[in-house]
Amino acid sequence: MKTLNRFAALGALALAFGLSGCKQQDAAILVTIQGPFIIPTNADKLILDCTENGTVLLRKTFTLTAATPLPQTVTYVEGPGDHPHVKFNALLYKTDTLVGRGTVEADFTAGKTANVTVDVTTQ
Amino acid sequence: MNQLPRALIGLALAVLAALPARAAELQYRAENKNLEEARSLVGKARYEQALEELQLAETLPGNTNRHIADIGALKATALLGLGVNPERRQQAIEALVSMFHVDPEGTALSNASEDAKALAAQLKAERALLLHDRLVTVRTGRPLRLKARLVGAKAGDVQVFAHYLTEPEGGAQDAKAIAALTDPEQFVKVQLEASGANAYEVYLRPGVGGVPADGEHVIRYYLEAVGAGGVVLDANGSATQPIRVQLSATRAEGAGVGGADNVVVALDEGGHVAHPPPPPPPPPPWYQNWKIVGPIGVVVVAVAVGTIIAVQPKPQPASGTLGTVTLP
Repeated sequence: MKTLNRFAALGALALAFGLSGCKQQDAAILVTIQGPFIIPTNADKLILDCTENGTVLLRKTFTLTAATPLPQTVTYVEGPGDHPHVKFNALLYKTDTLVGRGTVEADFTAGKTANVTVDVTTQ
Repeated sequence: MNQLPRALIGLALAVLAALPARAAELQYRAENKNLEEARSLVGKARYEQALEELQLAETLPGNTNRHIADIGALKATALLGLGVNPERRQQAIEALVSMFHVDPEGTALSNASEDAKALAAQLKAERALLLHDRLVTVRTGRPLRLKARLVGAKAGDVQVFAHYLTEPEGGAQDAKAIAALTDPEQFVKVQLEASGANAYEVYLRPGVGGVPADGEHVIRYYLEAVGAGGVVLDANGSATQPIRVQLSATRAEGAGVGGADNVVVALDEGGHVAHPPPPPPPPPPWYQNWKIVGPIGVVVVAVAVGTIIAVQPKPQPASGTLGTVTLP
């Protein structure tokens, strides 16, 4: 009986150890950018800003080609910082001329991937 | 959602199915099979059989003026074709006179034999014939014009009279009234005025002398040419066999052989329309009127097709990916 209790205790320890090694999925947001633009005829550059409380957390610039027509997705991972509520601003350019704009707000939820869509409309 | 376009298509098909098939034209044509048979037999010179058929043809109700004229011409042809003797010649003359009374121009002679034509020409030259385009239908409320001309007789002291009688509205209802229809004393007598060489005419005016002013009525009449001493030279119709004219507010007017055939009013012995022309077809209900249903059907089909197209799921372009970024 004592032997059985010993094995049980060891198993529980092993399980606790194993579980401690599993990392929970990072909070993420899948942002889809869509709009009535023919790429690259009508637009060839996308600037995507992720802002929090009016402050740009991250600006990413993408060159759009025939190989990357709309819609396109960008996955944002919350990262080490705590950003519960963010806003995405999408700016679409054609040879440095703003041709489209769109925005969407989203929340990072721990362990989940949220899906949001930015509808870029013509200027 | 997919049920809606199907329902619309079904509705459109139902509407299109209701489109009227083109209605066959209704054409009234009075037929006298015995007359046609007689015509055929005369063509084959089988005159005795032709006369038998003509005798039957004469007795059939519903003969038009054209039928009567054709019967007269064929009868004269058949009689003269059998070989001339006084009796047959007299019968042929009577047949031709009957023909002329309904067919003043003798158009029915076009199919008669040369002998019959010659006898007809002789009659017209020698015998007093009161020729008249018999009225068949006239429009109520208009003056009724009776015209006649006298051929084959010296004009001289000839007077032409019309005798007419208006049938009671709704027809004669009792024996007395029926008997009155053929009683010469009941007929109103008016004299036709000379309107040219051997030509005479008179107007029977609505509301005057018992001539109805409106509605549907029947007038029976006959004409007489009276010579010196009151001798009746010829009569077109008689009190017992009057000419019947329909006063109508709706029917087309017609007279004579061609006119009578056009308006197709034939009378049986009772003076009733034997082969009444078919009434005009009633207007089709709106859902069978292609002028209404056609555009509606087109619109319904167009809406159905448009709806089908509109509700089709649009192919969504597959999303590409620009990558993953991690926020600071």
